[in-house]
Amino acid sequence: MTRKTAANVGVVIVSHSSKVAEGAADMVRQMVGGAVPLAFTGGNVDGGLGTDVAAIMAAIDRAWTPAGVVILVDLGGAETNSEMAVEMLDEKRRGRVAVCNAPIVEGAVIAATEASGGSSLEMVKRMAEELSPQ
Amino acid sequence: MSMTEMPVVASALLINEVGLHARPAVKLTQLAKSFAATVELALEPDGPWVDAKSPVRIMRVKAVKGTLLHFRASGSDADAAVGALVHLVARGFDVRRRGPEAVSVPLPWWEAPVGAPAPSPTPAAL
Repeated sequence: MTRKTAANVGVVIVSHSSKVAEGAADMVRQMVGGAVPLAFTGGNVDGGLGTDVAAIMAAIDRAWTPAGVVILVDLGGAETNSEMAVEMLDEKRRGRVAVCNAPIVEGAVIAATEASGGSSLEMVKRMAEELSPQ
Repeated sequence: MSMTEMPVVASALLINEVGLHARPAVKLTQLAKSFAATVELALEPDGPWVDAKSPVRIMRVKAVKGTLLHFRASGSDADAAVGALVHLVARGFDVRRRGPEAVSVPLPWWEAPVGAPAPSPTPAAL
């Protein structure tokens, strides 16, 4: 749509696998388009499966907008490391980042779709979490 | 909506092969979101109505090709909203290619249409 990218909530994808993260990001880009700032990270510092707090913080930075950022994660460590990354952000940003309780691929597509319409951080998170069984 | 204000209603036939699957659902909600009006979709003229701005709910509709989609909108730009959505559906969501998830951009290899003719093997290859 025609809304300014800078006004839209950004989306960060955090997977244990860089391939999963990149693939999910590809789906978002192709299905939703470029109206939403998007970043992904996957794998640990050694290039193996895992997640890395510093890399997650860098991804948040790349997708950052004043409207905030939602994070989509896969399994346990991705979630705890994402929460740690959020904790380590400066105070002004911390409150504008939300980790979604939603499946990573579908959640990223849905969150980006919602964000592309200019919805608030809270709305984007809620829409992604509507995917999960009530 | 006030009691005196009648919602704008119109319908359109789903003509694209895949029906209202993921990509069309994303396009539909994105378009609906570009209007201020309340926009809803239903498979029957009397509902139940689904929020056309909700990607989750629109994806759950899972309407197949040949389904008549009903739109209902209320608000200052309701006419434009219903008109645009009906047009999007009637255009087949701007899909040019056929396939399980047809899109108007080149498909990456992992989404090549299942029904697409495979390169014919040369007899010598056998």
